Amino acid sequence: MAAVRLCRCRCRALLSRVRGAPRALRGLAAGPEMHFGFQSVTEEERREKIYQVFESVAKKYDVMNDSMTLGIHRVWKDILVHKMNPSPGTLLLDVAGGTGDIAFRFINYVRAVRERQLQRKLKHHQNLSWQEIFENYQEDKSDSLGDSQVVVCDINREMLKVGKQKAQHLGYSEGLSWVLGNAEELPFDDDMFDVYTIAFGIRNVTRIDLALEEAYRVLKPGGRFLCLEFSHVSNPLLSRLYDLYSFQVIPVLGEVIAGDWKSYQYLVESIRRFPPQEELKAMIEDAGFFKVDYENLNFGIVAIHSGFKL
Amino acid sequence: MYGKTLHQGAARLKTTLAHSSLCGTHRLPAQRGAGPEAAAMLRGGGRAVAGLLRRAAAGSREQHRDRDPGSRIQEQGSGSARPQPPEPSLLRFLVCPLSKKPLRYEEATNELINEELGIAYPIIDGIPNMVPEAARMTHKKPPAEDSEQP
Repeated sequence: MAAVRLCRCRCRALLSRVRGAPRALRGLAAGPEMHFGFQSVTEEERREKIYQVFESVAKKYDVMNDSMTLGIHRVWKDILVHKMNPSPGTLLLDVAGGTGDIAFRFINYVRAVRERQLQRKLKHHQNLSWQEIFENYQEDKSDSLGDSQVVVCDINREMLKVGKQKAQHLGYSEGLSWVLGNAEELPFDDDMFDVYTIAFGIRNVTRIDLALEEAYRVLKPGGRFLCLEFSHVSNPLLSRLYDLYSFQVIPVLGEVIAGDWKSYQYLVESIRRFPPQEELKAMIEDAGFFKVDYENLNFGIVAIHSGFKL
Repeated sequence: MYGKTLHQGAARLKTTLAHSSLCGTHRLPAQRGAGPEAAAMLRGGGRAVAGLLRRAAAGSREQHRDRDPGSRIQEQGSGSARPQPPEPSLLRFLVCPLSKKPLRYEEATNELINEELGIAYPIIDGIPNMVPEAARMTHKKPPAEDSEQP
């Protein structure tokens, strides 16, 4: 009896190992040369290095964002959530959401929309009985989000820890969940989410095509894919100024504020290596999305790509 | 009696907690039931007894409110991390990243278990770790930190 059980267990292990083999092969065999900033590394090395980069910057991530972009990153993220225009009851998956910026903005937006909805409902009701008014107040307390939920998924534990602390500090508890997961292999079932966002994260994914396919898989039909990322500036003069700022100022800021030159050197190099707007649009279309479009913010320094699963 | 079967540090911990009014002997049978995994965790707890006692004292006050025997066992064993069960709303979304099949939440070890493949994903600090490298095979019994490539 025990022997049979052992056999079955071994078969299960074999099955999972076979399943895992293609993934392992991809990493272990010298693998295609990938880029880490301007260096050339193997796939495994790249994952490892990126993990270490974010592990070391996690605590100072928000401070650095503010100082590098002079606070403009907040505007970009606000524009992303406004573009999303979520209604109460929306399920959002925020991948590479780390410190939770998009998630918090989503919650604020949905709360505001919900309040407006409830106020409009109250205005239409004339001659409410005391019982109805009482019930209305009861509802408000438990329904401020209207069943909307956001799941923040990130591959880096440190970033999630910082995000969770921020959430506690700012008082976000309802409708917010944290998961440690790989964007190339999401732990979610098919057709689950209304919106999938990835803000300043897709640049760090090693296999962008896999991440896009996973995004397509977990979205409901009719779901929206939104990607906010640094992109290419076409204007030559601006491009030169931007390069100057990126390579001369940002790593110095990184050293002064976060004590980490190399991570921020990686950051600016990875921006240069990332495919430009049109190429990313083609990749998103390849994954199966329709109506793929992008919107340049600040002349192309940042771009929001959007696609629908139809 | 229990000091014989468990590590010295854990035994000291238990007697200290037994004195505190909130924890009674009704917990100990549950510990015995948890088996070798609980013993392994208690062994780990024995190494950091001082900090553990402080945290356990604070934690047990909270957990008395929770009335959750599973996490009380965890409290003694896991040392620095006070495990919180994940939110039920999150549990309905999560599936195994490899097979995309639903998972079962195991309160005793605070893990999400995929029966089919025989792997368990740990939940640390209330955040489930759904990366295959972090999963452990349930039919072996390695410590949770071992990374297995399934």
